[in-house]
Amino acid sequence: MTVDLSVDLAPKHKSGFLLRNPVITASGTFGYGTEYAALLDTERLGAIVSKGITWSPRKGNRQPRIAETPAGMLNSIGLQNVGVKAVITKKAPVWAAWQVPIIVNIAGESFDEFRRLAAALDGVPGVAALEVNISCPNVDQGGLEFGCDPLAAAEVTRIVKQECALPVIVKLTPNVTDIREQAVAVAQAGADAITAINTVVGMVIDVRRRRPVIARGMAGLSGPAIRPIALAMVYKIAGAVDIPVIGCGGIFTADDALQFFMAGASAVQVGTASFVEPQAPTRIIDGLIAYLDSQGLASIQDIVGAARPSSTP
Amino acid sequence: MQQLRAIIESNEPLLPGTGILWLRAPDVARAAVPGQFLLARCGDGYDPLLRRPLSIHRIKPGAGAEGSIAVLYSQSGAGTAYLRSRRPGDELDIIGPLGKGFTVHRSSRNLLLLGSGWGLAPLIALADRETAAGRNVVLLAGAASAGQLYPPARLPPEVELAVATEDGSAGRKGAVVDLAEEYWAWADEVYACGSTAMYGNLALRTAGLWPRKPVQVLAEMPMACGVGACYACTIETRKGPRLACKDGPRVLLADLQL
Repeated sequence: MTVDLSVDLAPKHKSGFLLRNPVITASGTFGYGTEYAALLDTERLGAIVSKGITWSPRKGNRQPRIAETPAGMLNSIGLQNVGVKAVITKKAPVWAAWQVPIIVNIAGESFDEFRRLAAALDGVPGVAALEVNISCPNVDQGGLEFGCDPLAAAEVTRIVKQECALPVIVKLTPNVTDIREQAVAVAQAGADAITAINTVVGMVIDVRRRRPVIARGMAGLSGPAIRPIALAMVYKIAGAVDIPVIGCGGIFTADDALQFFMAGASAVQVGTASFVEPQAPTRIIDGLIAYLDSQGLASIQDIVGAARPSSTP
Repeated sequence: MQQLRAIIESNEPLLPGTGILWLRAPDVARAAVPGQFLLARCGDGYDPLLRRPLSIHRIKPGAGAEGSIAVLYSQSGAGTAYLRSRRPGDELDIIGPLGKGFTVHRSSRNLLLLGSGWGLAPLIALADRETAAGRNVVLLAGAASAGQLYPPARLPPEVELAVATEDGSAGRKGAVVDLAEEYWAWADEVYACGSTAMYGNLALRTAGLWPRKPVQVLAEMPMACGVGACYACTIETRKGPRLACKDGPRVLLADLQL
């Protein structure tokens, strides 16, 4: 039996955003889509999210930028990227030749920067959708200040939607009291989908030096350590909005991914797992097919929200 | 670059706290260049989570199914301690060869290699290859004390070795860079691997040399992906930011911002 893994991540958008499968590589963990090509078949992915892009090129934060933690890692890359002009002239033409859709993650420091980024990327061949990054914990401006304030999050969403015809996904931060407030705000502002979650603010101190390991002090925690946090947040969001939710946070295996689908996610993003096991995303795709087969289910949609109280087990 | 489960051929102590692991990896051995590295999964679970970078220490290319590479590892390092428990016949999940290795100019005859502690690991592969190619290799090896020195018997016999130890228990007392003065004029190219402090010292010593010596060093930075995707290992160079894992680890000392 062939199972249907396809998912529309923008059912409210005029042209939709149909992926042939719901496994996406997460922003910041998969470069510009070319880096892992020798280690896995990137054309099998549902989609690829680019590194976070800013208007001007950014050099990123001082070293050290990463530290390992129990079942996780901290990163403080600081949005090092080539800038939107180089993305349009150098990266997008490469993407345009691929089957796999590329979602460009955009990270503005101001409403105006988001406006310019969205306008610049609109209609660029090779750019299939935008993911609005209002959740990076590793920059002084932009990042969390938009992500933590529902009004600002909604305003960024409105601006990006206004400036471009692309499907718009908003990536939320877990570093808030009740993530439903942000989720509802961006959904009402017109977001086509929500990615949850970005990294959790964390820290490690080198006790011999009596200093934080990461140069900037705090950083973003990812990996299996945050998976239960991410799962709970996806569960909350899926109960609060009627747009697709993309689960992200420590997903390493098909079983991990299934938890997110059952919590109400329509798709998943795989991030830190790629560093450890470059083939994790394609193995997850295979694992989802095997699971659906074993359960006699025709479509991945059949298990979305299966663990919610309204569902019959 | 490829990912594979390499069979461990041997695993033994080399120095106190340091093990040497030989892996059967024909394709990697054929493709590898001294200065490149592997990423090894050091365990089956989530602790440690990230793969460990290991310098390629020796390369034994072969035909067909033959071909091996050796790496050195710290027996007490976070993660690499796992490698100590691996037995011949076990598999190790590796990705490699990664990064850009050392380059040797066609016309170069005399190569000066400087390494201290772990820094020796990738230089031995270079010494192996270049002595086999008929070049003259001087290896200046440093260590904290005599017991930590790389065993001279394991070097290719053609290598001329000079030694410095921090405590003076073998060779000259002091830093390995102190040994280099008499070789500057002789060397066509210089290769070094060690700490940032060593590179700073080397930059000072070589800054005034004329003609200028091309000095290649290996940059070390904590890394996650090893393929240029995560931007964890960015180094500052005079040509702008570069990734230690993909653009390096080989970098010209003159380009490094110390």
